[in-house]
Amino acid sequence: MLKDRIGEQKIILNDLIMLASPYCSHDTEFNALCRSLQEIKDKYRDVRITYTLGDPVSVEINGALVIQQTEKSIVEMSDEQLEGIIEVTRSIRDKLVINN
Amino acid sequence: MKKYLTVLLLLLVAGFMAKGQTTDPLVSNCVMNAGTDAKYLKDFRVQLGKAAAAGEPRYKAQMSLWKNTKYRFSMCNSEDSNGKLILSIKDNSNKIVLSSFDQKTGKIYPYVDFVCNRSGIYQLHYDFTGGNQGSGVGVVSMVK
Repeated sequence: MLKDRIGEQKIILNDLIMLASPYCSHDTEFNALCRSLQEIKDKYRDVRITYTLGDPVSVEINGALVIQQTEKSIVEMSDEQLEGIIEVTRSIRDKLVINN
Repeated sequence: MKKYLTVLLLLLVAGFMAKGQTTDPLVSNCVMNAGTDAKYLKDFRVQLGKAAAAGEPRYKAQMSLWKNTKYRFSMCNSEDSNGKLILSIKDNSNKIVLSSFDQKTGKIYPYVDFVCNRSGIYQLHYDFTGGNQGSGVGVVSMVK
């Protein structure tokens, strides 16, 4: 469960990189941040997120609408890949904590 | 004298703390009415004039939703709203996953529970019924 949550962060990571990219060459701090994000991205490269298709099912329960999504996202990540992500994030976190 | 100064200082601190809280009663009431089983995540304050022509929803926002999580999307309207706030959500392939407005029956749901099974970034589209002028808030909560 937690492993899946870590794997799913690949989705948001690309957005973070995209948001930070216009500022990467602004100063050394942003430059370091962009390099760190890139390091994490490299570790996520072989993590695969696949989807099974399906239409949402809606039911009305006591006048309230409940939508159940039947589409699913599945994270495929080996223990070695997880270990690599943990290692790189630990190292970046340590650097950030020490600097602040 | 020292006692009065302490009281004055406490009042000032309390004043600053109160200013930091949300002062919009519409938002706080909507959050309060989301249910005891709902944990507040985010709110979207929507204020729109009358649309020139009916069409695409006008207020758009993005939010990441995670699988194995039940979300509650509540909609509240201010008294001076001409239209009622409605929500539709699209996934990253632009497919509508939910709508609080049933086009067949015309029914508007004040809240919709969404059991998410696909993690990703979703587009939240808000507008008022019939493209009318309105003021409202959309609250997103996580249902325990």
